[in-house]
Amino acid sequence: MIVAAITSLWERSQRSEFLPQRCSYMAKIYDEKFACVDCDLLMEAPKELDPGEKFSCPRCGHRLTGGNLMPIDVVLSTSVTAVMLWAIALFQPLLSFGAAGRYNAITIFDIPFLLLDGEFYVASTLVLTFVIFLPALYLIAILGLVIPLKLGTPAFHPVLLAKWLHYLGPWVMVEVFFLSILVALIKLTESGDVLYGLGFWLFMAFSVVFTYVFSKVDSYKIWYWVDRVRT
Amino acid sequence: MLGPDYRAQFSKDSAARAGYARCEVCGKVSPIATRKCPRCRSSLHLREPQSIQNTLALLITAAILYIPANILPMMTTTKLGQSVTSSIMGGVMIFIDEGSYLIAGIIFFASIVIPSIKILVLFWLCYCAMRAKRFSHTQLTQIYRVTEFIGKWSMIDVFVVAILVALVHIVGIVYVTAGFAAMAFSMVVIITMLAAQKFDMRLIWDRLRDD
Repeated sequence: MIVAAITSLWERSQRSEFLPQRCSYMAKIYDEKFACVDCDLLMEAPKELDPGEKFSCPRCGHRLTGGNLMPIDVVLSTSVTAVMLWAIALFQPLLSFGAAGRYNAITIFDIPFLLLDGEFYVASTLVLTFVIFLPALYLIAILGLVIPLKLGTPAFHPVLLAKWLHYLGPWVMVEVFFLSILVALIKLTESGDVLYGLGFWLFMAFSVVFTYVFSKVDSYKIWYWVDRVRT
Repeated sequence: MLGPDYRAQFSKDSAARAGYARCEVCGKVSPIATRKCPRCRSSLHLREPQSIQNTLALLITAAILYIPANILPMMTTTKLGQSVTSSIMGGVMIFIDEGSYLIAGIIFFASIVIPSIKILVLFWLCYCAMRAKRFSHTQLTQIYRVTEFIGKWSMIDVFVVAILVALVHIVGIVYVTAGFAAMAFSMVVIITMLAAQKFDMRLIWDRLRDD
């Protein structure tokens, strides 16, 4: 039975909709005209690109797109994974720090509230927004576009969600925070006993998955989804 | 709003020269006469309105805030009744004294080198967009793209301090309070990120003269 299930999964994964397709979503969006973000060169979108082939602006060299149409199932599964990791990682002990014979653990969600004790109001707000809430909002907006696309149902305000993604994008600082955790760890291992909690590994997994989604989903894909969801 | 020969100020082959505007939000190219993007209903502009003025205003704010961010104490550590203050550079010096050169390098690079270079580069870009005579368009575009990309990595210092302070507070032997520099530095990073977003790279390419 298990073998049959695996075989059927394998066969399903070989269907064309799961594989990168030889097509250009840019040509589908910008059927007539297309302009470079950085230098405003007016050009025609490439009609066809190989999977993974990059397309750059001929004048300024700005990389406009990665070419292939990432299968919707991959976006869906990685985003769902990221949301689940987010929900668990924030409330698991990140690090425990031992001093004077007792161990104290903190979770990522504790950090902004502990900072308030020390009057670090701005730093507290920054951690709460850039590390905790914005990544979640970003993933929710992606899922709000991708789930209706997968199910074939009408989406809830797709243009609004795509605008969210456009404005939130530059302010998501998951990977920066992860590097900060590493730096803080190196600092702490020199001055005391540090134990990694489950939250540390989960947050590491979250930053890897999130950064993958973040790097694969560019604005051309997002607006291509919006167009598809609306028609 | 637009004069009769407004197109002459844009470079050859550009969308603006042909009378088309690229929507800043969704990237759809439509005739400028449309006023609103047909796909996402955002207002269409040929170029970011008041791009240089906004960028310069934000940059000056950031440059002013950058001074207290480096001079004033980042935090005050109270241990057994004794208070010690430390600034950003002081934090780097502590790491060097302890022999952790890697962290010292990361913090120094992220909180001193990146913000100052970023402010200077954006000033230089504004200057080039307004009146510089000779510059390489491709090089400036690359520099701008790097500046925009590394902007948020300056937050490392703020986040490291945040994690350490939170840990120290829960242990409870040492008491740490924030100094003005912590806020000023966070604002410098946010404001320079906004300035980089406000700057419109196409203004540089508009100065490409047709031969």
